[in-house]
Amino acid sequence: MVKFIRMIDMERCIGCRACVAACYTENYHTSGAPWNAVIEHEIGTYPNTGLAYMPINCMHCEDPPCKKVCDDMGAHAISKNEFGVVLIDYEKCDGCKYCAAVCPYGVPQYNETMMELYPGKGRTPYENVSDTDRHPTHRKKPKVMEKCTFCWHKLEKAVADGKTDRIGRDPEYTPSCDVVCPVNARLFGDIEDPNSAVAKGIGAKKATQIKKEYGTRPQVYYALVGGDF
Amino acid sequence: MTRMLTFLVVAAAAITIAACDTTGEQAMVPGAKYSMNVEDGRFHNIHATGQKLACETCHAGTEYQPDFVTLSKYADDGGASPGIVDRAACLGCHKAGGIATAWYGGRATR
Repeated sequence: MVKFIRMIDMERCIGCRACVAACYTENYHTSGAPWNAVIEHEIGTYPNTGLAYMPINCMHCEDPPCKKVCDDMGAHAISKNEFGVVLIDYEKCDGCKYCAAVCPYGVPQYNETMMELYPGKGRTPYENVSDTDRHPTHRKKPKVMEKCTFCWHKLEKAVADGKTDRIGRDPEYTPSCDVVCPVNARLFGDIEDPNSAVAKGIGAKKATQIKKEYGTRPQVYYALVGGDF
Repeated sequence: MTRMLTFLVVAAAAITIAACDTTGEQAMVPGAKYSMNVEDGRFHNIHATGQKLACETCHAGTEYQPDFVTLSKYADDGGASPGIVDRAACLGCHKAGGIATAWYGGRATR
């Protein structure tokens, strides 16, 4: 079985936020509900200081607390599919924000209003793309939760085309944030394939998950610098 | 005698219902019954009002005067308003095998 994993190499990350921009463009970003962010950590003591950049997106945990609370609430809006991708169904989400309350990584975002990208200047053609022309994960609504989907619309296409072996190598089938990284700090692919770049990278870089004490078993690994965050 | 027995039965039923409502164990539906907005005091609604937990249960390390909850909001609280609790504090009770609903560490169903 294919299980998608991401590895982020903080030693290589330069904090350029190309991954954030790519995510915004790919996933019909709405202001106030980012799916991807880069957090800066100051490390060391003066004068021996430095900055560590930590890109954060959904960890697609193997035991996602967001799904547990959503199911307990009876909304059943959050699912985890057979490829390990955690998705929110906007039609089922009632915007209770319970998922945001329990996520140790601060991932789920509440979309309060569908703000224009350029307030007061009208909607751009990009924002005017109709729901029928969008993937279900991009049919955004106000008053519901949103989060990173691992670019499920691309992974789904790879599965449909029978080209899961191209995931992580072919831009058409790889999450956009991982495609655009100019310093190759991001790897994405199948952890079950010992020859995949991401599987090799995790071993070579001794990458690990963050906040493991929560027992959520994230599917995003970090080659950490500056200690555990 | 019959009227007395009827009165006692009705009174006992009323007390039972009131007790369940007070502890909130039956009616606790966070998110649905209580707002999850921080501004509305979501965690206080659930843990202090609903579950009757002491302030120090979550705000560990903060000392509260015995009359803290009855103080005027304009009174000096002696620094006992530490703000939002770090989520690590939740882990103490909400992990698998803990005393509260296990949000963390348990197996999720697909």
